[in-house]
Amino acid sequence: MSKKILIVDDDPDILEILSFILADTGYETRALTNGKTIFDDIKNFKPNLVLMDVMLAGMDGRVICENIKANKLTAALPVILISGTHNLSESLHTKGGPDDFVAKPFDLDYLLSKVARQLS
Amino acid sequence: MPIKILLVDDNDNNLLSMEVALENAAYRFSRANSGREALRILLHEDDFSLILLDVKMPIMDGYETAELIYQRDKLKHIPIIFITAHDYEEAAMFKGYQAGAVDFIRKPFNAEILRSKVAVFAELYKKNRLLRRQEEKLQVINNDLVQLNHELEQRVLERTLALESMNRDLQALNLSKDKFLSVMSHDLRNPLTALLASAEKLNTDPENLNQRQVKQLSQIIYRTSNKLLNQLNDVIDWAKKQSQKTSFYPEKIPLAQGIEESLELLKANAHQKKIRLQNHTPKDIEVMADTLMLRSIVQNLVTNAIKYTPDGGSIVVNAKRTEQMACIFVEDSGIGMSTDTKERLFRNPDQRSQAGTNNEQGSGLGLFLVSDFVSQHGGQIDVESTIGAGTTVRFTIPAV
Repeated sequence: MSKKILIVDDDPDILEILSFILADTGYETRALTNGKTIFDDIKNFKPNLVLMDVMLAGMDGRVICENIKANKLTAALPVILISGTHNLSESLHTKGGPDDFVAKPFDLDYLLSKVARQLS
Repeated sequence: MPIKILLVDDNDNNLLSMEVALENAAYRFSRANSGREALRILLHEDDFSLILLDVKMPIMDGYETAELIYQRDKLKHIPIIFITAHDYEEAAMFKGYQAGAVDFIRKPFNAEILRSKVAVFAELYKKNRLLRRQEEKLQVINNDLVQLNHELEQRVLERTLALESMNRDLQALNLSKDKFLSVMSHDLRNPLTALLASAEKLNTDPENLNQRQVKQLSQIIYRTSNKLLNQLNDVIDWAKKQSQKTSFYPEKIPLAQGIEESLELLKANAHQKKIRLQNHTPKDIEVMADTLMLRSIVQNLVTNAIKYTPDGGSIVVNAKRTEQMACIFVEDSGIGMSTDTKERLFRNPDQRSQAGTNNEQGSGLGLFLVSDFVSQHGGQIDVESTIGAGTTVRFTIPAV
């Protein structure tokens, strides 16, 4: 059974290309343009990984990540944050921080290797 | 200045004998035969230092006359000495003091006493006059100080307002710079990320993509490229607005020196391409220009000249005075441009500029700003160019 990835980005172009690439690589994906329903989506989609932009319309991906890590039911779910403006390498391994971080624009192989590492 | 004394007596002999007794080069006398005549004289002249006033006169006596004299503000400071009969009583003298008299002299008078008393008042008058002058001078100085103080306060106020306004402008500029940065980093980076990822996928893995997938990727590329173009246009619009907001402070500048300073930073660039960069601007031309704008104009034009001049070429900056304006030339031995390019030069800031002879890149904003700055000075700019021979850009700014 293929691994499932939940993608959250407010830019539809990014969502589309990420979905394309990940699906083409063999993953099952669900795309969200905002983080409002993310806990419902985690509950019924049961992803193995969350790939999320930091700057979401009206919301901060870092805060959503903290919430995921603070919730006992979702704390073990790996999260990779993507950002074009913030360097998040320092927030890795801190409490509530993401499991990994990718800067925009990203190299496809690099992104896919990061994804694969979290899912292994 | 003579000391003016008014003598009032209905008896001419008395007038004459007073005048004789008081004979002094410093005194000048006016005579009146009645209270009425005294008032008439005082109507024209109010600068007497002393009035000798006979008390016993027909129709209007000395007291009545004194009362009328002192009704006028201008005359209130003139001391009056009453001339009275020898048998004058104390009660009557009191009445005289009430009317404003400063002293009494009894008739027939003792010449010596008359002289001494008049001399005392003459001296007093001189001192008073001196004091008044000093006071007037002090008043003038004080007024000047008040005025100066007021002007200073006004200038401080104006300067404060100017600084506050400048501060607001700077804050606004800072805000739009922040916005600019956010646009650059987020709005440009997002479509670029999608574009690059799609292109990379197409580029590295084409044999494994089906028709539908190729179409999807090329659509993303097409869509995001358009987005990028729109964002770029927005950025250029923003930059245009910033340039229009630029403050314009023209001042008198020696042109040759202004140009020399502008060239300072560019000499290294010219040297790198072995281009001879020379300033032939005559030393005697002065212009009315905004220093920063002039520098920006010259630097932009010379940068362009360097950009489109191959290694070993030459660039000359020169100037000529016409009636009202100074005409500045930037002449290069570069690759030149076509008539078509020339015509589009200042018109469309959105177009990307052509790469230089060493593949130098530009934003396409430079010439747009230059023509904007030149027209702010009320000047004109034009270009003469021959392909393969070189380009001369000419612009005018007001001469002094």
